[in-house]
Amino acid sequence: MNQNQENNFETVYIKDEIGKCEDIDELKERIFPMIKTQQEQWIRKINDIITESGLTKSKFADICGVSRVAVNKWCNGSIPKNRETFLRIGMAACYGREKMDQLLQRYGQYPALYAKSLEDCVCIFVLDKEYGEETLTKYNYILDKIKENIIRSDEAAEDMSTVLFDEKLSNIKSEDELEMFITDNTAIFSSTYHKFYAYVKMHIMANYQDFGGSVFDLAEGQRWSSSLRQCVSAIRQGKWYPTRNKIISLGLHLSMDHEQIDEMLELAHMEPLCAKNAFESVIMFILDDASLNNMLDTESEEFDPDDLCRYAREVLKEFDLPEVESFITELPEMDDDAW
Amino acid sequence: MMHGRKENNLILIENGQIFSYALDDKNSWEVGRPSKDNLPDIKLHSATVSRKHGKFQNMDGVWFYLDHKGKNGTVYNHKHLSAGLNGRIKPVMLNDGDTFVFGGGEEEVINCKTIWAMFVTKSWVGEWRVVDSKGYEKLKFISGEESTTMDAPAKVFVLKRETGIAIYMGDLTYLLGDIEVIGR
Repeated sequence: MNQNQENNFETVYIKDEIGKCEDIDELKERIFPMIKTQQEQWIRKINDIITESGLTKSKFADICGVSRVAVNKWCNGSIPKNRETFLRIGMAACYGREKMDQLLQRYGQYPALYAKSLEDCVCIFVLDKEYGEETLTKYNYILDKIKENIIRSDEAAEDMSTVLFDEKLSNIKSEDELEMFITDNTAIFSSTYHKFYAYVKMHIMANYQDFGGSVFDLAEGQRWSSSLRQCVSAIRQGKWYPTRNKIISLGLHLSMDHEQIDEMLELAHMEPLCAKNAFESVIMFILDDASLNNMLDTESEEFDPDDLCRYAREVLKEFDLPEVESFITELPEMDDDAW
Repeated sequence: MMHGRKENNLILIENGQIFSYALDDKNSWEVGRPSKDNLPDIKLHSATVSRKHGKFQNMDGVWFYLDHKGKNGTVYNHKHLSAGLNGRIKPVMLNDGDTFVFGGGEEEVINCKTIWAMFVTKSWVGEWRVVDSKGYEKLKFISGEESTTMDAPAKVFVLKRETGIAIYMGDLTYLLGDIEVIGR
C-alpha cells in the first residue's frame, strides 16, 4: 500500500468512526487523538518552507510582499486569512504545481489551482516556467497587465473540459501567447464559479420561497453576519471567491446536509469535508448527528431556518479549536425553547 | 447529426413509448400524473407517479431536478433521492447522461412498467425508431464506421455516438440518428 492509499484508507476509517460517535465526549476521546489541527500542521509546514528556502525571514517576507512581523506570526501559528497569501508563499518557495496544490488544499483548506480561474491560470503559467525567485514578481506583472486589458464577457462560455483547458495552457510558450489565450477565453474565466452560484440560488429558490428565492433577501431576513451577507451579495453578483469555511458556514445557514455541503465544496473546486481535520471532523459529526436526530424527513411544512446553526454553535462551543472562534460568531445563539 | 450548440434534452420512456423534451424551450418543467386540475408539462400516466412528482428547473443556464418527495419517489443515477434536513428539497444538478426512474420505489427495477428518463446535453436529428430486441443475447450497434458488440447487456444500456443514440431496454431498443442494431 503506498502513502496515498494509506492516507485515503485512514481518512475513510476516521470518517466512518465519526459517524459512529454517540456524543461530543466520544468524538473528543476517540477521534481527536487520531488527527492534528489545521494550525498544528501549518506551524510545521511554514517553518519547513522557510528553512528549505534557505532565506531569512526578512527576505522571505520581502518576496511575499508582507512584513517580517507577518512571517513571524505565521511561524507561531497564525494561518494566512486568504488564498492569495498562500499563493504568494508557494511562489516565494519556488513550488511547482503539485506542491502548490498541496499547500493550498492541505494547509490553507482552499481549492487547488484551477486553470479556468484567471489568477490561477497566470499562476500555473509562472510555476510551469520556473522563474525561481522572480516567480511572484512575474505573476504580479502578467496579471496586472492582463487585468488592465481584459473585458468581462457576458457571452456563454465554450464547453471545454478542464483537462483540455489545462493541456492548452501547458502548451503556451510566451507571455504574449498567454495574454492572447486569456483574451480568447474570457467567457470561461467569467464563469469559474457559475455552477456553484447556481446551486446555492437553486437551493434557496426551492426551500425559501418566503424570501422570493433571493439569497440576499434570505441573508437580510435571517440577520446573517455582515461578513456572510457580503459573501451572499457577492454570490448574487457572481463575484465571490469561495473560501472553505465560509462555504461550510453557508451550508449550515441553509440547513444543508453533509452530502450537499460536499457538493458545494466540489462545485467550488475543493475537496469534500475532511475527517482528518479536527474542525471539519466536528462539522461532520454535527451534520451526521443532525440527520439522525429526527431532523430528517419530518412531515411538518414549517421549519426554523436557524435550527442547524444553533445546534452547530452549541456543539462547537465545546471544542477548543483555533477555527471555532471566528466561525462561531456567525452562528445564531440558542433559544431556550430550541432543541 | 449532433448540433454544435449545447442543447439540453430529456429522453423519457413510459409504457414502451419514447418522448423527447427540449428542456431549453422553457425554464421550468413540472413532472406528474395529469388530472382534471393538474396538467404537468411532462405527463406520466402510471399510478405510482404522484400528481406533482417533481420539476426540472433552469437556474442561470444550469439544469436541476427537484423532487417533490412523492410516495414512490424517484431514483436518480441508481440511487433513491432522499429529502434534505427537515424534509428540505435537495436540488440535483444535472449532468449529461444522468438517469431517472420515476415512481418506482426505493430500488431501481427495470421492467416494461418502468418510467425511465435520461438527461442529455446533445440532440440528434430524426425520428425515434423502435426495434424488437426480445430474446437477443448478443447485440451489435453500428454507427457510421464504428461498431460495438455487447453480450447480454444489462437493462438499461445506452450507447451515445456523435451521430446517433441507442437505448436498449430488453424487449425493445430505441434508436435515433445514424445508428442501427443487429441482434441474435
